[in-house]
Amino acid sequence: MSIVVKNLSFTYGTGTAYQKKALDDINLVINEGDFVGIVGHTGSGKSTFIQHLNGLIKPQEGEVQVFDILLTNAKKPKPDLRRLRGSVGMVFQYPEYQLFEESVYKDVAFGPKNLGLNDEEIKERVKEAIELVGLDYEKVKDRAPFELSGGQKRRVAIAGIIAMRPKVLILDEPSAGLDPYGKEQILSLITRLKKDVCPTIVVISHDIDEITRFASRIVVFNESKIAYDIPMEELFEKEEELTAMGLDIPTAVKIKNDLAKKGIGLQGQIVNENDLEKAIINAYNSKRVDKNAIDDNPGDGGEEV
Amino acid sequence: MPIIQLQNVSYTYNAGSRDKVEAVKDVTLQIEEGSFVALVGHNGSGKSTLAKLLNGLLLPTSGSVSVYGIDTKRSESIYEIRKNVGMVFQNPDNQMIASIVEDDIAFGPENLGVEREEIIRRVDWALEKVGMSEHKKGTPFKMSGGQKQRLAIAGVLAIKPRVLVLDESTAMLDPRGRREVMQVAKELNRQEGITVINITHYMDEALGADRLIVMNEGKIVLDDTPSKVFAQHEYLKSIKLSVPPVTALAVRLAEQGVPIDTAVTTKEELVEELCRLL
Amino acid sequence: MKDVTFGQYYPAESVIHRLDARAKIIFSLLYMIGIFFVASYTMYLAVFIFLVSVVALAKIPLKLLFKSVKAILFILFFTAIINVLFYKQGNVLVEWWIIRITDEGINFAIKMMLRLSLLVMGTSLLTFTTTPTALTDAIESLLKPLTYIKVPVHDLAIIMSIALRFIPGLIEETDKIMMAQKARGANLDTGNFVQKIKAMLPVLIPLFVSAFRRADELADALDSRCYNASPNRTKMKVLKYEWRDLVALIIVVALFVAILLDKYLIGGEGIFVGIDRLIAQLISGMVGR
Repeated sequence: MSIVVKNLSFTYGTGTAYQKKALDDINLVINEGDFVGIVGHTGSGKSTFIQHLNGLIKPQEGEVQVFDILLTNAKKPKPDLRRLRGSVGMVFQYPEYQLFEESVYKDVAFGPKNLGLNDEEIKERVKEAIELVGLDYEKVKDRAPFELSGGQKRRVAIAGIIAMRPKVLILDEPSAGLDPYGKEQILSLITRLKKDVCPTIVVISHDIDEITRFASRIVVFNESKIAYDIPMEELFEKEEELTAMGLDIPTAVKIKNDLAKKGIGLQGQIVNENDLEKAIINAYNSKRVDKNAIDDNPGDGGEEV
Repeated sequence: MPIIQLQNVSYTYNAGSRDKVEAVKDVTLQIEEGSFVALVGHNGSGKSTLAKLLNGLLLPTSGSVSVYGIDTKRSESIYEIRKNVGMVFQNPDNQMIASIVEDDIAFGPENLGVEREEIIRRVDWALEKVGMSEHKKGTPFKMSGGQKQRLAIAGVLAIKPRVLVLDESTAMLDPRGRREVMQVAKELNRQEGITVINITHYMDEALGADRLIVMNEGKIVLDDTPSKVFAQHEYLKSIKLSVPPVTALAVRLAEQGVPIDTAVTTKEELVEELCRLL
Repeated sequence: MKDVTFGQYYPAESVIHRLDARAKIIFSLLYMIGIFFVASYTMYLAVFIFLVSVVALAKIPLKLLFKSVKAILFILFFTAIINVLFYKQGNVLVEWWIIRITDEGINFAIKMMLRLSLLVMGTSLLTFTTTPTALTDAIESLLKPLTYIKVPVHDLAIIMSIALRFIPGLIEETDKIMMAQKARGANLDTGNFVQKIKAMLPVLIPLFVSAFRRADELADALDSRCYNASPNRTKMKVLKYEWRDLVALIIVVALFVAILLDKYLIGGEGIFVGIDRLIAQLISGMVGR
C-alpha cells in the first residue's frame, strides 16, 4: 500500500466569515500500481485532499500515511518532509506558471538540488527527465523556459517533478488550457510515465472522457466527502446522482446507453471511447457473421477481420 | 453590407526588429451581420491576433479592418468601434475590475456616459441574458470558471455590442463551464441577433456555427460550413487540429471496415448511424 | 497567508454597513485624530466600549476585530519595549547601564499599545463594513475638489479599485506558487535574511511574471469596455447622505468632544480620577518590588 488516509478532516478559515469545511472524514487507500482518477466539481475538496498527500497541508484531524511516513496533527515526531516530497511528486494546475530559472536545465534541476543530490546525479536525472517528457535535451537545455510554447513549458514543468524520481505522481488538471495537440501529447506522456517511470499515479480532472481513457479507478468527491469509490461500470450507472453532483458520465457510456434504449446491447465493459470502438467493431463483425451464416453466402465483402 | 470587413490584413509583432513574428498574413474576410462564426486554429496559428484586430486593440501592419464601414485606424472613431464589437478574453479572473458583480457590469456603460436609469436597466438585462441575475450583489471570488466567464460576457453585453468576439473564452474552463458559455453565446445570437465570432481550439464548439474558419500559420486555410470542414479530417490532423470526438470515432470505425457515414458530428447522429448498422 | 483579516469586507446586513461610505471615512479620520488625544485609562475604556458597541451593531464577530490586532502584535510589543527602555521622566524603578525604567515610561508604553490597538481595530472596522467599491467611490467623491487642480482623481480611483480587486487573487496565487515550489522540495523559510530573500526567488519571479500577464489581459479588457471613452462618465450608484449618517456624526463628534474634555478639562486623569491613580500606582508598585 502506497498511501493510506484515515478519518481525514480539514476546515479552512476557522472562526472567520469564510469558514469552510473542505474535507470531512476521508478514508482512502491507494495501492502501488493504481491509476486513480479523482473527479468532483469546483470546491468539492479534491485539491485540498491531494495537498495533504505530500505534506503541503498538515492534517487537522485524522492521519495520512505515505509509505513509512506518517502525517498527523501532532507536533512530534516531525515527519521527514524532504523525503516525503521526494517520493510523492505533485504537478499542480498550470505548472508552467512555476517556472522561474533562466534555463530549462536549471529549472528541471531545482527539485533534485533541493533533495541534496550531487551534481553528477543531478545532471543524469535532468537529462533523463527532459528526454522522458519528449523534448530534445541538447536543443532545449540552455533555452529560457519562457521562449517555449505552452505545451512545451508544461512538459518542462513536469520534467522538474519527474527528475525527483517520485514513487507516486499526482497531477492536478494536467491538460487544462492546452490546445488539442498539446493535450494529446500530455495525455500520452502520462500513460508513458505510468508504464516506465512511476507505477502509481493520481490524476484530478474535470473531463470525464479524458480521465476514463487511462484511469483504472475513479474516486468521486462531493461536498468535502468521498461520494463514490466503486468499480467504474457500476459508477456510471448512477448517471442521475452524478449529474446532481455537477458531474458527467463519459460520452462513450452515454452512447452505449442510447443504443441499449434502442435495443442494441454492446458486449463487455465500456467506460471510454476505446472500449466503445472495440465493442462496436465486435458487434458489427459478429452481426455480419450471423447474417452470412443465415444467408449462407460469404461472397460479398466476406473477409473476416 | 458585412458588419466586419478585413482587406489584405497582415500583422507583424516587433516589426522591423530581429525577432519579428508575422502572426497574420494577408487575410481577407467578411463577417455577415447576425451570423455565428467559429474560428479555429492551434496555438500560434494567429487566431488571437486576428481577434484583437477586430476591435482596434491591434492595428494592422498592412491592409485594413473596418466595422460598419469605419476603419479601425481612425482613432477618433475607436470607441464607436469598440461599442459595436465587444470582446471576452481567456482568463475569467483578469477581466473584472470591480469586486461586486453589478458594479463590474456597470463599468462599460458608465465609461460611455450612459444615463443612470439606463445603466441599471442594462445591468439587469445583461445579467438575465447570461443567467446570473441572482448573483447581482455577489462577488466573483468563489464562483466557478463558467460563472465568471458568463459575467465577463454580461460586462460586455452592457455596452450593447452588435458583435461578440470570444477570444478563447472557453480554453480555461471545464466541460460544463464550456457548455454554459456556448449556450449563452448561441442564445445571444438567436434571440438578440448578435453576431458571434467564437475563437477556439475546440472543434466541437464549431458544431452549430453557420460558418467555420480554420487558420494555420497566419492564413485562412479553410472557410466553409462545419460539416464540410470536418470532412477534411486528414488535412485537419496535419495542421494539429482534430475533428469533434464523435466524428473522430466514426472515422476510426470506418478505417476498420465499418461502413459508417463519417459526416456524423453529434452523439445523436452517431447513435442513429449505429442503429442502421448493428 | 489565508489569515490576513486586515482590510477584508465582512458581508452583513447592518445599520453600520448601510452608512454612507464617505461618512464612514470621515468618521474614521475623526476617530483616528481623537485616539491621539485620549489621555486617561478611563477614556481608553470608554473608547473601547464605543468600539465594541459599533461592532455589535455591525454584526461582526468580536474575534475578527482582535485578529486585526494580532497582525500587528510584533509592532505593538516592539514600540512598547522601546518606550519602556528609553523614556526618561518619572520615578526610576530600575536602572542598569544606559537603561532606565520609570513608572511614567511604563504608563506611556501601555497607553501607546492601547492607542495603536484601538487605531487598528477602528480602521479595520471601516473595511469590514464597507465594500471595496463603495470605499473607492467614496474616496473619489471626497477627493473630487482636487480635479480642479488637475489631479486625475478618477484614474486614481480606478487604480485603487483594481488593486483591491486583484489583491486577493495575488495572495491566492502566491499561496499556490509557494505550494508548488515546496512540492519541489524548496525550503522557503530557513536561514538568515539574505538567504531567505534568495530562497523566495522561486516564488517572486513567477509571481511577477503572472502579475504582468494579468495586467496585459486586464488592459485589453479595459480598452474593450471603452475605458476613457467619454469625458462625461456617469455612475450607477450615486452616494447620498441619509438621516442615519447625521445621527452617527453626532455620536462620533460627541465621543471626540468627550476625549478633548477629558484631556484638557479634567487633566487626563479620567473622570473617575481614582481608577487612573490606582492603575498608575499598581504599575509602579509591581515593578518596584
